[in-house]
Amino acid sequence: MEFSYFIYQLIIGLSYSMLLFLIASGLTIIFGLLNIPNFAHGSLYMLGAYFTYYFLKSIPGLPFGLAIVFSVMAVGIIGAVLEFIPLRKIYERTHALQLLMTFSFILMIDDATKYFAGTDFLSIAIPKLMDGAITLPGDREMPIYSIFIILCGLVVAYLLWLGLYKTRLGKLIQAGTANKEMLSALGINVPRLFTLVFILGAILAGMAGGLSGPLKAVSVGMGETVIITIFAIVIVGGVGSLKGAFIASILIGELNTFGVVFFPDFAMAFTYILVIVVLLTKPEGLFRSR
Amino acid sequence: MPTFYVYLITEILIVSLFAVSTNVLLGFTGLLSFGQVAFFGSSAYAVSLLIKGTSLPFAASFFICVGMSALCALIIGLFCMRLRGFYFAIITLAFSQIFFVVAYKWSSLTGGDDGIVGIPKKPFLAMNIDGPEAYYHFVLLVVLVSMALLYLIIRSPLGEVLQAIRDNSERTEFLGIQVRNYRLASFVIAGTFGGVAGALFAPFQGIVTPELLHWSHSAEPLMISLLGGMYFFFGPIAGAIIFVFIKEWITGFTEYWMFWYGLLLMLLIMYLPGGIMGFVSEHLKRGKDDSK
Repeated sequence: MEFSYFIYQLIIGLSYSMLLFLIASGLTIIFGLLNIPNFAHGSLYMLGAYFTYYFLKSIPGLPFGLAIVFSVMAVGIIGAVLEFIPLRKIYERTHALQLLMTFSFILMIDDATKYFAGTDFLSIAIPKLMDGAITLPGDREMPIYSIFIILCGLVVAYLLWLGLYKTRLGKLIQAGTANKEMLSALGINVPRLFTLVFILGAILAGMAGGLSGPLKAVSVGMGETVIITIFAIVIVGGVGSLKGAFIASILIGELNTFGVVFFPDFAMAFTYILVIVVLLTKPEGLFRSR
Repeated sequence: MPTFYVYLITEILIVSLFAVSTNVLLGFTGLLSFGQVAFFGSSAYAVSLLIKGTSLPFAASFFICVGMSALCALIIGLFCMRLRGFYFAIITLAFSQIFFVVAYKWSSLTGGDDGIVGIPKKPFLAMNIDGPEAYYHFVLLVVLVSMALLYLIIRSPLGEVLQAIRDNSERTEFLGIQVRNYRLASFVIAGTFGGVAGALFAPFQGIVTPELLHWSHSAEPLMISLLGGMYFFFGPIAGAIIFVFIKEWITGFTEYWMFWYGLLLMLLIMYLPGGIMGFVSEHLKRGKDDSK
């Protein structure tokens, strides 16, 4: 393989990794604090893409960034409703019931989306500012939008790190991940914290959905396809670990990208094999903070 | 009986068997497997390949596939037994997705996305199973035998141990019982009968596609068990009857039946986690208490 092609694939892989991180960061925080394996996280991601599409379509001249902000708010509201009504009832139940409950969200969100948006693949145009490519050495064209995604991932990672380690809310979330009862005993309104965190997770998923719109076709299947990869990242990284999610996103993003280059037929299986290997050797994940 | 109902009841029988076998894990051992579809789907594929590609009699193909399911369940189970709860669910899901990728990508063998079509109903031993009614009788026979076996297993000492593990695995371990081996046994039983259901399903539909092996399909027997009542042997059967009829009924006026099914599932978990059988038995008990 030519070196320039290798670098090119590496960057493409990185942009995919950062997109995965945007989705996975929300899930790992939710799972870490609320202890709910939210199967419907991919559906929230999908909703982010659909909302962005519809805001752009129905408000002519709306800047792409603003469309993302609107759709993120919409997904946040849906997240709040999901947490407030059904999820609250099952915090003390088994993971089995929680998985099935969030699976029921997938059924409802997917079918409602099909009802309102149809089953056609929709596409979002790349915002004008970022439409174009820069030429890398070796005459490889690198879309500016992919580089923008990488930057988004890095910025969000940094902001989340700041938020989680430097603010009071972040410290509460960390404390809650470690010991919920203690937090409650200290007089913290834990249910409200849970709602906030679920909304934060939904927002991150929605944002990733909106940002992915110009990269790939917007379709109902996109949430279902990505969710297993996202769970893989959260598990490989260690549930609740932001750093773990970041590194695992890069690992799985690059694994997929290079997998497709070298073994196009069975690249899909790599993620699952990695999950199996990690679960069997280090079931707590590679970077579990505890 | 109109052919439509023959089809519907055949489907209910196969779905019931799949759900009851999955519920051996879920309801009776307390293990949530998201990978049961691996045994159902791979058995459906294997039986289709054997029927179409070889001159083996159907009965031989059938038993080969069931044996293969048992062996697969043993091998996969050996790996999965190290994990619990959510992690167990995910590792079973990951294994089943590998089956999905193989079915989807190994086009020369499995037909890829198109799957395998035109699976004939060859005679089983001397039994003619061609045609909806004949096939229904065959399915009824196999499902009844399988259910009887599963019932005997659940009511046997083995079944009692499984339920003890479900209720408190640590105490069961302290009693000197090798919890891991019993869980593995439960996994193999579930996989084997999942394979029986899959082998019945392929000639019934006449077509197998990778969709059968997709993880989202794994949730179906779980939902059915939950709907009917996972702590009852007959719970999943009640669930399957209701599931198939509701699906049929809702698809009559909207293609968006999954939404309503999702809503039903959500409400069930919120208000009726014991399922329909749980609800009924509680009310019967209450009625008895009142009459005292």
